[in-house]
Amino acid sequence: MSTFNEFLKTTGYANLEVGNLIMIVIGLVFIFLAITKDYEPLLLVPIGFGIIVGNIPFDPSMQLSVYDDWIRGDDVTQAITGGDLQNSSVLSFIYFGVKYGLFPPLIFLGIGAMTDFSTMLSNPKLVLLGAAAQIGVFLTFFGAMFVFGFDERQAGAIGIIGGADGPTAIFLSSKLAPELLGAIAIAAYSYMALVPVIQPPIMRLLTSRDERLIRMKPPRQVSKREKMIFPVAAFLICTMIAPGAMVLLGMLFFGNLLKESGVTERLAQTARTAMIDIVTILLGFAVGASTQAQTFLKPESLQIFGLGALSFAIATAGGVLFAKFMNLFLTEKINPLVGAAGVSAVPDSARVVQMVGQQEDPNNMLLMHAMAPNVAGVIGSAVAAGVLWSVLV
Amino acid sequence: MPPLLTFAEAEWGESIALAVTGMLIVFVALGLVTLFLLLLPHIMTKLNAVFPEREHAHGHAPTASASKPQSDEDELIAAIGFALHIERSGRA
Repeated sequence: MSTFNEFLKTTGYANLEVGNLIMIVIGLVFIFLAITKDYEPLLLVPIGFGIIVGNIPFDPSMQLSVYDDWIRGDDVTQAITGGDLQNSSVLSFIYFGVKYGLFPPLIFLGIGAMTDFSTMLSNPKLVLLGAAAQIGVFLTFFGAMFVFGFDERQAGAIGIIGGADGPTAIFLSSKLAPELLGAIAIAAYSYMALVPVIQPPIMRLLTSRDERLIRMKPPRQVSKREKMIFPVAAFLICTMIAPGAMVLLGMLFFGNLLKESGVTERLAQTARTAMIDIVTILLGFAVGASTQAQTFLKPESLQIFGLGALSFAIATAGGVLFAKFMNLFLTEKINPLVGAAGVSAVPDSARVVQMVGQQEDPNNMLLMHAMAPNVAGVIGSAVAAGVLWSVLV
Repeated sequence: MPPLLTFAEAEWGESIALAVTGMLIVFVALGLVTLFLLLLPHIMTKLNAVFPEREHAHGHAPTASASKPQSDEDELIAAIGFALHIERSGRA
């Protein structure tokens, strides 16, 4: 009987706290939204299920959590010279890729292998919209420090949520503020999933009907050779300025070169299908599992969510307003809606531009134009992350 | 003599500087990419004059082994179609 009683004490029911229950409900909501509303299902299903897994209570003497790893703190030497591998949890091995920023560059490799930069190459001025949208990153950095009192490293990690790029947010927070990684990752991916909800009201608020009706010239044909030269040249240009972005941009442009070179189709195919899928599963699941109520349900997490939303809104507004500013000097006007795609979140924000544009004029095809600032936003947010990392590390 | 700036003011100033510099760096990086892309067509014109662009040997052109069966198959289908057409026309 005493054995049975001992066993009962180890069950999840016996150790369940209200926080765990709340987190499990959040995980279920993620899965529900992914399945019924089709909000970023490839991310929200792994994250949602990971949240449920990470919040099953267990006896602390069992090594089950993502945090039960063989490297205590930053003692990497201990791991090499005799860390306790046997007492590490399986989840901690998966979480390794998140904790040490391994997964985000691999995701970038896959994104590079599936991205067509043609629209950007054919309309270079739209690249600047990807830069303008990064204002969300830096203003939120500022707000996080002076409104909520985060230290500058944490503020930098929170600000990058405005880049609307999950892998970049994870990469930077693993470097600057690992203690906030779970909240930042969840916030970043949640807002990416909520792009169709957050962006349209801001876009409509900042543009007139006439502006939303602007039609843009079809992009020019881009040669294969231009597409091959671009990833190498853009990598050199960006990382010479911000070497901190080397890993992310290196993988992004390497993936793109695999695609465009024409001689490594097999590698490109693997990078954009099997590899990115595997990494997405592991990353999403591990991030979800890292949100244990005891570490996640804190006032800071709510503040991070608030700041993330603000960052996203500012980034969207920054892109739209900069497009309007550019129109003051351009003879061939830009539809300011495409500025909203500068927030990255590929390809959802470009789709939102198309959707909002078509509500005014069903025959106005803005998608291909919006893809230019969209992919420029990926580069811009990686450069912003590189800058913050190099200055705040 | 009191310090010119308190710690909080100094931190405030540093953060503004970081935010402005960071934004500037992003603009410079993407501005240079824009400039490069604006020049790219001109570079390509010069480059194509020296090294004309041609279909890549490995990746793009279908190989002989890949294209021939397709061609044979098309011819076979055309021949069968023609034969059926003649036969049906004769019967009619």
